Amino acid sequence: MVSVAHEVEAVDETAVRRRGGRGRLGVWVWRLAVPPVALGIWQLAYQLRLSNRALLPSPRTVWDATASLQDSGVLWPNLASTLGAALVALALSALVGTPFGVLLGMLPRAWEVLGPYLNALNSMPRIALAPVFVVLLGVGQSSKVAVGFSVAVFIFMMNARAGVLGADDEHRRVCLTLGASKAQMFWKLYVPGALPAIFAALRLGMVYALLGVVSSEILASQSGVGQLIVSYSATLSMAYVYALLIILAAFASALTLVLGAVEASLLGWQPSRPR
Amino acid sequence: MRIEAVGCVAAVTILVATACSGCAPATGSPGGELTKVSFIGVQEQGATGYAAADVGGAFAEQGLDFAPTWATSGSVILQGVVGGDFDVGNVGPAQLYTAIENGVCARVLRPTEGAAYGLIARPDLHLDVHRPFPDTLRQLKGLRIGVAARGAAQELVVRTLLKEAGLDPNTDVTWLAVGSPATALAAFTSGQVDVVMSYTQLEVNLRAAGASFDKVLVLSGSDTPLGVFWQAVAVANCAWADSHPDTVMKFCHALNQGFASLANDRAAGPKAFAYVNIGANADEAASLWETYKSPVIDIPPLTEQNWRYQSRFTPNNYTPDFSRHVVAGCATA
Amino acid sequence: MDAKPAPGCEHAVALRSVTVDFGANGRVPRSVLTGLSLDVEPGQLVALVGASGCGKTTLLNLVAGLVRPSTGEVAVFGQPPRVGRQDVGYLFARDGLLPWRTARQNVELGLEMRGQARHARRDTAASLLDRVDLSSALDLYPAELSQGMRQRVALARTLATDPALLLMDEPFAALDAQTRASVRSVFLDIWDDELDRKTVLFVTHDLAEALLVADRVVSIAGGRVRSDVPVPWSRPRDERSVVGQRDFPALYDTLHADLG
Repeated sequence: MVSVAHEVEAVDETAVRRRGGRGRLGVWVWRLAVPPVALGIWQLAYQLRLSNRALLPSPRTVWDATASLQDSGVLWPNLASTLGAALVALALSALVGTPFGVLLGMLPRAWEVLGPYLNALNSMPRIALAPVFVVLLGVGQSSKVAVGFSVAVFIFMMNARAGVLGADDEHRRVCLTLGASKAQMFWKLYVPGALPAIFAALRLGMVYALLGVVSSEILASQSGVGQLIVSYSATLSMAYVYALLIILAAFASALTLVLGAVEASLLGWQPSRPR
Repeated sequence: MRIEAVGCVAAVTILVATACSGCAPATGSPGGELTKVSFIGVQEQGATGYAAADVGGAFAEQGLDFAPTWATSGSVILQGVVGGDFDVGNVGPAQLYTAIENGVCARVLRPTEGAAYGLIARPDLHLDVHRPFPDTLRQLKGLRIGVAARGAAQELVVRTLLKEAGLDPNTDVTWLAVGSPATALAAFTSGQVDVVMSYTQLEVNLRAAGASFDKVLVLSGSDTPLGVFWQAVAVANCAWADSHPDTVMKFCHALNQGFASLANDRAAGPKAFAYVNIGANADEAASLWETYKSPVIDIPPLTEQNWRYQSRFTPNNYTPDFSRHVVAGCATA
Repeated sequence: MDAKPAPGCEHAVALRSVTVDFGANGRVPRSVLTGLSLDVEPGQLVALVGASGCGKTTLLNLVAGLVRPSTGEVAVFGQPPRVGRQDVGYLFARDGLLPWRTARQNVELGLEMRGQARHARRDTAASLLDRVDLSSALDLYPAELSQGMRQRVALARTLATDPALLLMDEPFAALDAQTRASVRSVFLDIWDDELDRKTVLFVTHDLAEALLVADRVVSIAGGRVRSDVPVPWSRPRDERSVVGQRDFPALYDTLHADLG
């Protein structure tokens, strides 16, 4: 019975670790303190004229610019255009890149044949293809989504493949000896096993899809934040540029937080600390 | 012994003389006589004055080495001059005034081009070219307008005109960046834009490519809705101008000589046009000069009144302080 | 669910002059097993012992169908081995539990592969986890279980499909002494309890453990069977009584000598 008590103790310890306790609250307090500190440093830099005031306006000016963007009705349609295109690009990348990546992981011969070409494609700066996409697809949402997709799809492909390759040999043997067919291996072993890597790809892919979309907008587009940034930079109206960048970053962060919450619920089985 | 010594001295002297004959004083070698002035502009009609000064030797005469870099838009030029990468740039005043309003420092030398724009539309849109201003601009409602760069001088000018015609430039039209003459041509002919802000170089290219267009609004010459408009002014980096006043004056003098030669010397204009790539050969440059010379010959003079007038094309009607931002005496140097 | 041996066939497992060579792809070839022959009767618990690298695991993998013999024949219940046979179960040294499945779902894994209906699966899993004393851990994830608990879940998983032949590769080696003893006794209780005992091939490096659990201890050395020692003592056995048996030292020494 001694061994049973020993095991029960181990379970209790794990449960306490998972709850976290007072430590979590402390983290949030520190987190919320960062923006005011950053604002303070910014204001100080402005007042001390550490940089050209045209290039680094005061926080107040940037706030006024934000209000002005909101009032003039310029902000929301363009923001929706950019974020919408980025989300569509992300979704397409996930839907296309993930199964392809899982298959590449499951079929080493396919990787041997296609790998060098995929790596070559991946090392091309796809943002440089933006002019091609604009000529092919026009200046609407399609070309932006295409650029965003071309950047983010490789992240899903490579991460999904890595997730599959990282599948424990033990797990693979267990499934094999339990009589799994190829399809069962795909759905019961490889896909769930690759989920952590896929979620990592989602977070990274969000950033890169947004990057691709904004780059395409800066080049040529009917609407979007990238266009606004170019427009305001032309007359060095930097307050508006910073306002737009901060708003964009805020939305992207919110999306990442949502992703994190979904990930935490789906991947609750992961050990919180290494045993 | 003496003959050999004389021979030695003679040989050395000849060697030194030969070596030194390779030292041409006017080729701008490091530590040589010429002072380098780095310039950034768009390679088109607006730079004709500088071209004439360089081709005619006016810069060299003042001991200056004129080093041009060609950009694709006013935004690049403005950022290059403000950032200190270039000493002098050629920029539209509307864009410059707004940047100064945003806190940028700049010193204006003189205007370098009068109105030389036009609004052209694709012929398949069948717009009516005979309507007067401002009525004709109402045809642009719902269309896509191409400008060299978003937010730069061309867009600012068209926005002002649209407002005068009663349209809302934010919602009644769609703005698209079409870049330099080459990419603007492609955007226009492929149908990516409906209307484009044209200028001499673009029209020349369009005709050369056999592409037709409807001129909806003439904006070149002295009798247009633009009035006493300066399409471009020479602007200098603050730090450079303030610490090299002599060089600035020499530059102004040479530039003024360039403009004078355009007005007085028949051969100067075509050569200057060839320098900025207007016209594929000398003959073509000469005939194009006859058609397109007036914006660089009849430039509204640099007066405080004309200076204030340009603010009409800024979003907030802002005029920078004349005495602070204009280099006194430059226009008459 | 028990697979009966093919008619006229006596052995649960039969190996005839089996050789396994590794070393394709330009690596130095080496023979892990050379001309090994072994017969196992149904219902026997056979322990396989030997020095590290002597080929015990390879032998299990042959029977499981994960490895093919270079020469010789292998028969499991009269049929050639095949990966994923329903009548063969394999318990590995490390539990191999899928971390994203609860204990119950892990036990159900094999039944899912066979296409069994949901209710039946849940009932089987629940009853098996009960037999290994883990009813409280039904909905816990592997990360929340101790090592001993995980290995018990793995055992339940292997038993879920009710295989007639059990392959066990040092199943308790990763556990500490106390946990090992308790999990081992859980296993022996289950095995001993059945009317139709399962055939077991039990690999271990612990000679005392071999003598404790097995009907027969086979030692592998030099790629083939060196000794084949029947264990005379009755069941149930426990550690203390086994070690105290008169013939224990002699049996132990025989096997120990084979390790060298």
